Amino acid sequence: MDPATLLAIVPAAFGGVIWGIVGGALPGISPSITMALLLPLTYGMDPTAAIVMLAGTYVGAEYGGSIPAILIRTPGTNAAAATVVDGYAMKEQGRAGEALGISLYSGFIGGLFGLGVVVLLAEPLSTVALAFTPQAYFALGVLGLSVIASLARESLLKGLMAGVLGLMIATIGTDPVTGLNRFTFGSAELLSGIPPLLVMVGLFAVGELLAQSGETGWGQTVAERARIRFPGPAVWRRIALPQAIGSVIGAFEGMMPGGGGAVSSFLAYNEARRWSRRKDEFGRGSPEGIAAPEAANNTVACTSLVPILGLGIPSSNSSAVLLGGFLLHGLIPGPMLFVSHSDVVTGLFAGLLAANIAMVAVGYVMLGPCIWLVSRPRPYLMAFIYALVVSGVYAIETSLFQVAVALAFGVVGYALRYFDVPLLPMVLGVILGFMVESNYRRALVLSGGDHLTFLQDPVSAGFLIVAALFLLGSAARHLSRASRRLHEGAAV
Amino acid sequence: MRVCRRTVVLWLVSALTVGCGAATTEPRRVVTLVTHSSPGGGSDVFLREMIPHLTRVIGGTFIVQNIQGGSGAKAMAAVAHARPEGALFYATTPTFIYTSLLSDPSARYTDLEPVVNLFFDPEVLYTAADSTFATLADVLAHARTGRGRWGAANPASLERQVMERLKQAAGVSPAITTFEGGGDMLINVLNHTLDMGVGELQEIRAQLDAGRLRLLGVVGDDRLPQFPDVPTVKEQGIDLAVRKFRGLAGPKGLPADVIAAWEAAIPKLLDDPAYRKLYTDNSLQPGFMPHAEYVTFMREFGAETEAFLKQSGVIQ
Amino acid sequence: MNRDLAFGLLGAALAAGYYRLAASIPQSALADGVGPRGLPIAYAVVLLGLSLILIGRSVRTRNREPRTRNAEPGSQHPAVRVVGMLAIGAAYIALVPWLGYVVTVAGLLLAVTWYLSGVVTRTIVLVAASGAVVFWLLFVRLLGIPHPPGFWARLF
Repeated sequence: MDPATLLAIVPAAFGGVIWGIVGGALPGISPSITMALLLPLTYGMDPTAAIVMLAGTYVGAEYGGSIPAILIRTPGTNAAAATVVDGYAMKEQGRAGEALGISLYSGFIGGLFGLGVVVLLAEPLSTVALAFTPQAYFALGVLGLSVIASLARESLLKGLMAGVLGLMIATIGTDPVTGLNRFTFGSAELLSGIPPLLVMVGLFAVGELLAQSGETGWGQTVAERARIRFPGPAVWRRIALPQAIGSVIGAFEGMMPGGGGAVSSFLAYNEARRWSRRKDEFGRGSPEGIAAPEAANNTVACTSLVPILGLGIPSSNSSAVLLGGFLLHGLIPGPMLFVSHSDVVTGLFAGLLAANIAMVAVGYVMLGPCIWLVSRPRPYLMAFIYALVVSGVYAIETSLFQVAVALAFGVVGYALRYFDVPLLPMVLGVILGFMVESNYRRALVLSGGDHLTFLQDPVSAGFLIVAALFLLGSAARHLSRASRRLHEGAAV
Repeated sequence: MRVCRRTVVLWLVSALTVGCGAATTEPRRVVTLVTHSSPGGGSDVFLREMIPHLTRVIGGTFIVQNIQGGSGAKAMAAVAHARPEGALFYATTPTFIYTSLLSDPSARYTDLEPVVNLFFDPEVLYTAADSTFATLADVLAHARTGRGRWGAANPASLERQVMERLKQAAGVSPAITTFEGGGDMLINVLNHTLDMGVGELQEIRAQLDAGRLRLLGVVGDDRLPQFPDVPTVKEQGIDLAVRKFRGLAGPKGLPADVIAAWEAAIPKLLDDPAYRKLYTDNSLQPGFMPHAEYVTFMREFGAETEAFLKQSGVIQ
Repeated sequence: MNRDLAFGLLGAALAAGYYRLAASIPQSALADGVGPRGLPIAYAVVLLGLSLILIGRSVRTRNREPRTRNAEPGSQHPAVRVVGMLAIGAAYIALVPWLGYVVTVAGLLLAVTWYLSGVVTRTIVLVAASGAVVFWLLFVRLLGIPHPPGFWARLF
């Protein structure tokens, strides 16, 4: 590659990453919105630099989402939802710097792995997407939902109820088969449904604000060292396995259209817990619980390029914006791009490498001030979080209606906290509800109503078997725990 | 300086959006083209690609504003409530008619004044290149004897309407599935889950160029210049043609000279060699319609769509 | 009444209400075998079932298990404070189209800080005002999100 191109690519990657981290870290502003806001500005740029900048934004945003997840218990992006659990727990223990370090480092590892996959295998792997029939997507959704069993810690029953409530929220909007409006009450604002990010910001951020404002007598916040800390050798070794799990799951998830980062980070969290030697620490500030989902969502940011470059088909909202970026510069992504514009493809790969390195550098510089910000006196902090929420949520569709919906979900979040109901199953239901329903019905239309079709499709059958094994396993665990409790109760 | 003015205009436009009715100081100098699609989406890319040529050919400053939300309902409301000064236009696609009919938006397509039409997006029927179907007749024959599986991009859309009407016209009963967007459906055509899909030529261009798809027919009145060998559906004995339009609409009560200016400008734009190359590459068919014709066209399109949606029970 | 019982009853009520709405979704000739109301009705039934189990379990164990969490002293108090917090948000939504983004955000920052700390000092006013400017720079200038400018735009 000639030095002039390189000279254009590296600043573009840095710029994109900075922009992405800022957007990703603001609750309500998703990676796709962050990229979309940037898109008009790239119009006059060199095509390769423009694409690199957009891809860098995606990389930065996927990482940025973990910052508020750890610091203020509010995922900045869908894919950071799984990071909330252990990230915020670590923050509460005064280990925010360490948590942020693990997230940054794991994101970097995931990004490099994903990049390697894309560079070496983009063309052959694009056929993976073709294995995904509606049956397979339905089964993937079911597998995702089975994670509820491990997210619902104390009460499986209440976790399941929260999950079903989430699925119900996902039915709002245009029906995926007939185009009828369901539960929209005639409002055009509800036609395209309630975005999962809105539900999350409401449940977590607003719910937390309400809960904290109701608390009397605030304790002193834990003294915080305003420094990011990279993991020591012991932690390093400990998080290697979860990172590997996250990277592999993320790599696959990125390749299939419709998967997206959120499903992969939940699955990665779940698998990391299952293979961990310190399962009981999950949910109480386990470094592994941050490493797995963060490695996964940053891998997705790279491997989601596979279907774009190989097939010309975007796999998520974010890659749809990237596709728009290609089109704006007169490039048609797809199998022919490697032949007709191989220089752009090479430039993009180089840019992604630069973006991943930029992410570490920028992240390192930015985290200190972020930690400082969240250790301000509580009234200020909460006022700023509130302002951040109403400003960020507005950006989803530039709508005050959405701001009101977020406040309403804040009330829901407050109520769920009061009833000791876990929040993440509901989030999972909202994220996966549409995918599960639309593909279930689609598959049945194709099979003429025959449910066996889900077992005849090999990919679908595989996913369903894994989900079933997992559900049976955790049901058995819950039952044995319950009976133990019963026996102990009887003995007393 | 340009950045400043642009910001001011954005502010003014959002003031209009919330119904304050702010007055622009330079009504003709800056023209805002509103789209309901997000940056990078179909209409957005279309407008952003057109603007440099528009500026070059007819002069003036044009900016794109994305007013997303409500599947076009918000963008329609913003334009319908704006002052008819010729400073704000809406980029029309069939979506705004579908949204008007399917929900109860505060402003409907009938509350906007169609100005001119620019293009048609050719809709084509296609199958995987390695499938057993060589022609549309093969697909129809399969639907008659076995279980046909056809796909359309969105549940309530022009594409769905094409498939349902094709089904009626050919007297067959295949399963018709819908997806969220063309890419999702394309995969299911490529992996043979579907016998046939329908979509815009532009969406499938990458796969078509790579030789992985086969065109079965054009759902329009004429063959496409890029693919002179592909017959229209009408030529294959089925009376079905649709026109997916791309044009401009404005608030009601636009002054006659504003409309006349567009009527004069668009043919010039479409004849421009540089722009012609661009839109031909993007598989758009020039389809200029002057104001009077466009108004009639829109009325008929709306009535036809409404009849279809009512007949199929989607709306009452 | 314990919290599980309350949540169970709430869940059952939600399931019933959702079922009624789902059952009223019209039929369509474009519908598939499952139909637009198929899964919603199934969800409602499942939620009702789970709620009933929860209700049954909480009634059964009520006498056996000691209350795990006691209500905070003065349990009226928190709920009232929460309503106040929500009211600030509602006021923001109502005012921002008229007062514009910068002014309303400053008001929100000031109101929340005052509400939670109980005092208004010069620092708080200063932080709210400068905070609003930072928010405006970040969201409107940098990210280009068209937050409502308010009636100020008409004055110039």
